[in-house]
Amino acid sequence: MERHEPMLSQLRRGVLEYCVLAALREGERYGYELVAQLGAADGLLTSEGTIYPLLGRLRKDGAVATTWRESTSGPPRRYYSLTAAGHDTLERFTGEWTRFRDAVDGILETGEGRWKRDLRSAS
Amino acid sequence: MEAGPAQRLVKRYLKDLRGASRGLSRGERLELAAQIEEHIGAALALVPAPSEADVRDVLERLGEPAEIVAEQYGARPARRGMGAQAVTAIVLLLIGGFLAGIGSIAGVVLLWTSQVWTVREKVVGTLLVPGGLATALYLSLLLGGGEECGGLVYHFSGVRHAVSSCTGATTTLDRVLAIALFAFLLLAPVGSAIFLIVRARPQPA
Repeated sequence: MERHEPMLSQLRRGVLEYCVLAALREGERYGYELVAQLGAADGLLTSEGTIYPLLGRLRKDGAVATTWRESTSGPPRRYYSLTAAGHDTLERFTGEWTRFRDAVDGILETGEGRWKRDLRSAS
Repeated sequence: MEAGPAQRLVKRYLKDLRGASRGLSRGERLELAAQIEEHIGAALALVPAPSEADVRDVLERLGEPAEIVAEQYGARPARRGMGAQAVTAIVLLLIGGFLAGIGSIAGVVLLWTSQVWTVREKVVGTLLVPGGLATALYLSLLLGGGEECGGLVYHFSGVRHAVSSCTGATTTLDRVLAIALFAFLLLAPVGSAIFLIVRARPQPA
């Protein structure tokens, strides 16, 4: 199915930073690796470069830390890793996301949400 | 990567990126440029002998520089954050001291209530130099009198010199230091104003 880019872009803006945090959960990555990892998820990245201002902001906010490592090819690379604060944020988001996703799914399924069903079954 | 068209493509891309990120703070701009350059290097290191088409492909997947910058700042293109308040603050910090000193105070108030500078930048704007250019003028009038023995003279060369030079026969050392101080008082407010202009960040929408 063809993607609806404006719609997708709105959604992406809200969740991309948490996806970046999630991609770092298993360990540190350098920029290109991270981009390749996120790019493999359908619809998550359109222009790969948009990850970098985001990483810059996450670093400034203290969710992500950077270290320089020698690379076998070319100059040293900056590796990104999750800080303790980043782990906390990711955990909180995961909880919120699960509830949010269920709520949206509920609305999408029935058109009125589960509350009405609950209301009906309560009366 | 071979020198030639491929390298020119990368160079032009990085130049476009610098242009597009002009609205960001200096730190953000440099970080972004370094990240993108590293990305291009890492992507091309995976290809044995990158051709012009390979480079083009890497750059296309990165996206337009303007698009990359805009993503972080919403749909709004980044721009300089010099609103009326910021401009007034800089002008008053520079020459407000001539308005019976009140202008300088107003400048400091505007500086600290502005959103476009960090605390550190505001400290620089406040301390370099209280009173702005007026301070240089008043001090030169004071020292130029020659007969007077301002408290500052003591600081220039220590009490030893100051005592003997108090009656107006200033030593060469005092004279040199006075000129240096005057030059500093003249240049520092100008430098401070330029610093504030450069550091003003994009205004929130």
